[in-house]
Amino acid sequence: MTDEILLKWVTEYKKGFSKPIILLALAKKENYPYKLTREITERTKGHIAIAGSNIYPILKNLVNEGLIQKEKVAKPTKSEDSSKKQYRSVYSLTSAGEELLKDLQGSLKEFIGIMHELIEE
Amino acid sequence: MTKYNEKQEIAKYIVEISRLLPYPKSLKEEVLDDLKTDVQSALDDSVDKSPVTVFGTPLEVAKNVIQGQEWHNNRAGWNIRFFAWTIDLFLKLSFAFIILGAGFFIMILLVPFDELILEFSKWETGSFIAIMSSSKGQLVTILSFLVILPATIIFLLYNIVLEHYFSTTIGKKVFHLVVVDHSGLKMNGRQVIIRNLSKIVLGEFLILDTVLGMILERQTPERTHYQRGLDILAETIVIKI
Repeated sequence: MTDEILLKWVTEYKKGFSKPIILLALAKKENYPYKLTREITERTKGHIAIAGSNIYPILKNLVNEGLIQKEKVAKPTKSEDSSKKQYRSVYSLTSAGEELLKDLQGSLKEFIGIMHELIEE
Repeated sequence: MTKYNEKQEIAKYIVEISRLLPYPKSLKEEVLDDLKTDVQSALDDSVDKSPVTVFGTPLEVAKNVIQGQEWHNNRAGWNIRFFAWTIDLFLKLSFAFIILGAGFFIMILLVPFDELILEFSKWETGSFIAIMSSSKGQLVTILSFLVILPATIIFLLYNIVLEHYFSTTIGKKVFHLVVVDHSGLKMNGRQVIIRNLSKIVLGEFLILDTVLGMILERQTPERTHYQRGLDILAETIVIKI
């Protein structure tokens, strides 16, 4: 029973971090959804893994909030023929997203510091 | 798996997802292209070459795509639904009358007109024995059944068949309306039937159904906005694209 509760709580608090982590990942470089999920999994050493298409609603939310933007870029292809160019959507931070991230980083550092102290007591 | 087989698997997977999204191609195309890119990347990074295992079932993905696009947020209002219904009613009646007219024309070719009228007049008396005692009576009865039945079927099933296969009707399509599950996905057969029960009988039941929806809308406006009573029961919404 306690294992189930633990799993539920861990999932819930990790979910809460998904948006900040997406912003942090996009602060490094723009990316498309699947690669973003891979980068998040690698950088959090597997602690936060957003599976497959689950990232789409989160990205939509962040776009609606004006924190990230979506644009079309040419897909790298082996063919040199420009008439065969294909495009894909990539996401990047907006200036509002950059501003929020600066404030958020300060707040997160403080919060994590306090949590660390509480755990160590 | 060869590169060609992998491409085929991905194409099949995308088609399955697309089937769950009853929206125009112009809306879906870009999203499905991006999805294809993601699925290809996921497979490139994985030993397992099944899109379902690596990326999720078509239903899970379709749900996430809907949430990511919010195509189903714009519910069609009562006015526009009424106009669409008017067009559909006109079309249903027209199809039914065309079939009845064609059937009657064929009957006249097979049975002389005055004898046809005589048989029909026997129906007024309601005497089944009198009608079926003559071969002409039997012929007219069978022909009438063969004409009335398809006309009735078309009238009753117009909405059900079109909404099941296309998630819309001709009248709705004129106004860019689509009927979907409340989550934005394609309806299942059960939902199509339930929401159209009040259209099987003309007039009174549909009016009651609509008025019930309007009353319930006042109680829970965010949840039951612009839904008839049977829409609420079937968990379907009509959206404007």
